[in-house]
Amino acid sequence: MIIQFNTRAPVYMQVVDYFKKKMALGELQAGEEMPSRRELATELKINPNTVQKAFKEMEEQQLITTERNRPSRVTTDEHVLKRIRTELVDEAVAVFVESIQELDVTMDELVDKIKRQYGEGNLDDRSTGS
Amino acid sequence: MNLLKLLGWEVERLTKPYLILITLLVVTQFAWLGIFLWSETNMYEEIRRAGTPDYTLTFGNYLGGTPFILSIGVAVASMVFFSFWIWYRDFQGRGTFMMRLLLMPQQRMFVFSAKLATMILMILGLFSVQWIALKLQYIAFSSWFDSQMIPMSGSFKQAIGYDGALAIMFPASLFNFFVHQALIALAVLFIFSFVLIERSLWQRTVWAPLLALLMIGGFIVVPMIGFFTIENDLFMEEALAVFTLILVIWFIGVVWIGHRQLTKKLSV
Amino acid sequence: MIEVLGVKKRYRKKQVIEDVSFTAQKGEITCLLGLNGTGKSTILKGIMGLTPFDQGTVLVDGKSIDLNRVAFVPDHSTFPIHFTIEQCEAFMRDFYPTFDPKLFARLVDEFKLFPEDKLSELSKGTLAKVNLALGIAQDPDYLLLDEPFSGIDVFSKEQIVELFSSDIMEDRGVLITTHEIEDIEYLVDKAVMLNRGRIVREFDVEDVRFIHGKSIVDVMREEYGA
Repeated sequence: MIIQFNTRAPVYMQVVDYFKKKMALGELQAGEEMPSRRELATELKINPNTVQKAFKEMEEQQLITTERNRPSRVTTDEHVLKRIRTELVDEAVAVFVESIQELDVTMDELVDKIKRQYGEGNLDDRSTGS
Repeated sequence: MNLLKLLGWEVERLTKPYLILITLLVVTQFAWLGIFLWSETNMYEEIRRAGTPDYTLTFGNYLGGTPFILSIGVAVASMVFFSFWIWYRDFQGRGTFMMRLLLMPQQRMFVFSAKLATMILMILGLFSVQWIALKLQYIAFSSWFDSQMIPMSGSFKQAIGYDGALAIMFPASLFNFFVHQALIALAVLFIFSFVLIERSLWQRTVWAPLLALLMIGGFIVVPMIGFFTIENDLFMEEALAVFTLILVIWFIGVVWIGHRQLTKKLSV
Repeated sequence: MIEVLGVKKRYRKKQVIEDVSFTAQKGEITCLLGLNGTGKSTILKGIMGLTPFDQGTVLVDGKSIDLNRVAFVPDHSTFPIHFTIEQCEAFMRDFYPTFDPKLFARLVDEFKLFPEDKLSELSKGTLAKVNLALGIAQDPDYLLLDEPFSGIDVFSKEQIVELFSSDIMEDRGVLITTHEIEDIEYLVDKAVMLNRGRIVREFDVEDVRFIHGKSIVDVMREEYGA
């Protein structure tokens, strides 16, 4: 498990985002046990207090549940898991839109390009010129 | 308990140079003894052949020879050097062992006491080795001249008593022995005080050694000047009392300086 | 909590530390940052009583320092170089009452050290690990480290960083000095920045990322950059 951290964003938020992504992709199933905080800190080479903060944040966002003296588990609440997915997609689209707006592209052109590139998968290098 | 461990530690670290010194001392003296016996015998033969042998020899003649005096001088100088070295080696290089010693949760005076005890042990050890060596030398000396039938006068005791350095090392009475040991310990403590003052100042000024020397020098000299100015007005007993008082002041002073520097001032 | 209150220190004609105050909490990693020669080491040594401050006080949990509870790891060996690691350990056992041989054995194992090795034969990285192991094995509440990463290889760095996020360091307060923050960027809770003998910033690292979107290096650049 490796996270490429951004030094300018809070590390605990990056840890939270990392787990959100895993949950959204189903790599972490509903109800699955989370790694222990200590293990995680050692593995990511970050401060245990930061991991603790990330877990607290995830608890507040109801992504995980923790019972006393038990390992934390991913929530079984389908709504929450759906919400994470929506959230992640929204965030990614927002970033995309923001950067594309700077280039002053019309909506039709954009939609057209998206359709084409999405269909072609990764064979997109030539299309940028047209 | 911890003090003993520390003492053992300190002694162990000085053992090697100390043994070299002792060996050197004994070897030099016996070599000198050999040369002395040989040349004296030759001289006696010459005098005897020349005429009436009006010739007497004492053990003191041997002790007065340059090589013997030199060997004692080297031993004394080495002890002075060790008194400095026992501190300075712990400040050597970046791997300052002194840091380890100062970080020990025990009282820092343990370090001081262990080093002092080490020095006193070394000095007493030197004295005892020298005593045995002297006795052996005397036995060799007298039995050689007896066998050559060369007349000899004076006893072992007289010879030692006349010799300055040896008289201090091996005084006639037990009381004097303790007084001399106390004075030697005081000398070692003055050196310790010098080092500790110097090491407290060394990061502050390049004049640290000079300043430390002045302070310790002043501390030694001022009471002495005071003593000599009033000495003539005092009776013998009074002078002795005053001198004892000065000794006590010196002792308390050096221990206090040691404690203060070690706990509050020393810098590594 | 370690409290450093209004300390000052002068070397020769230079005022190295001018009125420095800061705190380091238990269970947190506090990093004392500054360019070379800004007096970071002097502050650590001052706290430990190795180089007395001219003025000011240091309190550890409200009392004057107890060397049984605070350990110092300098950036060089404190043992004669002809010593083996075993001999260092023996000394520590004899004279440091809180020294825990089991903990030391665990660290030796984790760092893959060989007890019979002489200090003079070790690389800088291995020596740093030995120093660290000797310090941690004192089982202190607070651990002060002087430049533990300076001049050592990447893998030794990694091992040391891993140790800091492991259970061995749990509940201990750590005060660490460095001029290369990159190595421990994600480890520190709090940064204390020193410039020309004064504290110029004291901040919670995650707060600065959260509120200002700045990394520690950004803040350093603001403070030290030309």
